[in-house]
Amino acid sequence: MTITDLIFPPAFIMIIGAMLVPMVRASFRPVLVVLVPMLTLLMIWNLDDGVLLTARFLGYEIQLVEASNVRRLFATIFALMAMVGGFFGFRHAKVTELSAAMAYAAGAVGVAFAGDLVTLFLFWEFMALFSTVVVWCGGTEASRRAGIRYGIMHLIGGIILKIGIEGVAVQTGSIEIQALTLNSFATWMILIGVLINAAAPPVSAWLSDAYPEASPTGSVVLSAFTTKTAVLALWLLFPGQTILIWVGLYMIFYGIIYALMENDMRRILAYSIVNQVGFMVVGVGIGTELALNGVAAHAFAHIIYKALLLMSAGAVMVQTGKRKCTDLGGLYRTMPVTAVCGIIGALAISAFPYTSGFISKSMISSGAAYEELAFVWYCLVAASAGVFLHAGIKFPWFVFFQKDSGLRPKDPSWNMQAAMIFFAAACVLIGVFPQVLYQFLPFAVDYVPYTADHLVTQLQLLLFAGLAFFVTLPLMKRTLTISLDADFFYRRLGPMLWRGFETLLGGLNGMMHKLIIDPARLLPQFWMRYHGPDGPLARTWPTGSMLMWVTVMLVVILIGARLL
Amino acid sequence: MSKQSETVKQASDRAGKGLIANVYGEDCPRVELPLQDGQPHWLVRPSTIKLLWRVFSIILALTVIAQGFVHVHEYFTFDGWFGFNAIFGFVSCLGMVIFAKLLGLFLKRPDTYYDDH
Repeated sequence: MTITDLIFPPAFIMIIGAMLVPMVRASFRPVLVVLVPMLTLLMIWNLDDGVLLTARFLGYEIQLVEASNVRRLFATIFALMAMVGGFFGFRHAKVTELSAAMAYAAGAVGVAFAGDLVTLFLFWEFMALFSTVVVWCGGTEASRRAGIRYGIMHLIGGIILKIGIEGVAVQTGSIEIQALTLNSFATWMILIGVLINAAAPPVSAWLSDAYPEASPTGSVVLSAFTTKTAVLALWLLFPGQTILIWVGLYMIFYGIIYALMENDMRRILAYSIVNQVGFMVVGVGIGTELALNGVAAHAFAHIIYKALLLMSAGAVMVQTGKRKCTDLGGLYRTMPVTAVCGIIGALAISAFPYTSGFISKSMISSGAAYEELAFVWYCLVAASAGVFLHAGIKFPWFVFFQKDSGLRPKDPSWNMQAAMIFFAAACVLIGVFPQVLYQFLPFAVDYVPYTADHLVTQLQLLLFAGLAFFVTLPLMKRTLTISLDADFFYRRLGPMLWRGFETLLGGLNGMMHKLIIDPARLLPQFWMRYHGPDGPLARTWPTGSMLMWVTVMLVVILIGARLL
Repeated sequence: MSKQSETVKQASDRAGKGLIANVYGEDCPRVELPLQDGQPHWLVRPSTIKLLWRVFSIILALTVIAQGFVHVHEYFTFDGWFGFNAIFGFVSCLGMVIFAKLLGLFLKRPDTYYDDH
């Protein structure tokens, strides 16, 4: 069965699902969070290519659903993520959070199938709204504040995107989603608006500020959608824009360096999201079929292993209540399932052979090699080693090994273990049988990941990166610190300047009082003396004195008239 | 600040299904260190660690030696050299760790830095 005439977009299934979550009985909730994304998947995979559903909106002919290979691939992983993330969290997450997470995922599916910029913008903002709710569901004062900052950042990004979309609509008369050239203010605005969601510099800090403050389920869900819809938007709108290569390289090394300095396990993983999205942004910038295939494959693989890593971190947090590397360590003793799943995720993110990262990331770096971008290629190779350093070893080492923290937590509840095992299996399955993923990529794949050459060079690179980790371990002693980032400007410097401004205004105010207002007060005082409520000229006079004064005036007039 | 968060919590408790998350890890068992049960876990015994280092060294050597039997495709100037990936991986990681350490001198702040505002 294929669907040629749609009556509603696939995202609507999940929106309805999100509305149903708070209405059904608690015991039916896990069924619902699995069933709804499954129905969505079923619909996604029955869509024909092309524009399938249009509507009139504000005078525009908008395309609510346009399907293609790459859109279907992203929508698939979004729906899958909603399913596994919801299943992971249904026992700990609040109803509000489960519902918001599903609505958020619906927004991502909506963006994936948006055929024009207006539809894209609508679902884009829908995501911003519900992702902010997910951050708030962390339930702490810190998450309340982080959620406000997160919301403001995404509303600003949305406004910039909207300015760009309106500009393009006015200049070209078309709101079609197609490859744009960066030749006008409007297209630049669209690029900036999309890059803000991709956590590109200089605003990368919003991600590591907000995601780790969400609940254990929340950060799993958040890791998947916002940045990856931005990658898809870049894929569709700006393939081959050279500037993206440099933006992406910055993100890659920013993520590694900040993760190396970080002490909070979930912030380490948040920085590594920026790092991984950087690889995808570079791939879009290279823009060849191989690189674009690599981006799509890497986004798919990344969502799985990053969710897996955050699930294992979330499981540790649920069981121990701790998230700082300085408090953790030695947990492999009592949390073997979580540790093994975390290690599989860590190997996958490091592109270890026979894991999903190996078959996806190498497409992007081969894309650079085939285009003879020597500098970019060397950077990507160094970064691959760096990923193993900051996420591949650092995360499992400091959480599950290093010193014995004395904590003896059990593995988490069965649903959390099941979700982790499912995604860990997916990482290995895709790694061992790359065709599972390759057959769904947007362009035909003739790339062969497993050659003796590739295996030897990758193992050399990663294992010697591992050696570097253990050699420099004394340099990486964890400290109870955070690292300053661009958020310093709006969390510290901004308020500081504002307080300074207030003091300055206060001073000016005092001066104004002395020089102008106090002297000026004399004038009304003068008036008040005679015309005020008690002034002689404004008093209510007794009739007698009135009569007397009238008599006096008459006498004066009479005498005056007589004299004249 | 804590007062404010308490009022948020009270409000949500009254609502019954509010935003406040669970308090995690309350029943997480904790053992007093050093371990009372004598022998440490086999994985952290010095003899095991020594063995692990030996095995790891052998694997490292093997990955380099293997390059002698495999033709490595060369795209640019250095990448086909014998042991290029080993040296490049090690040196670039060393560089990143040292760079992060130095940058940390300027950028690291106590993790309560933003709390008092």
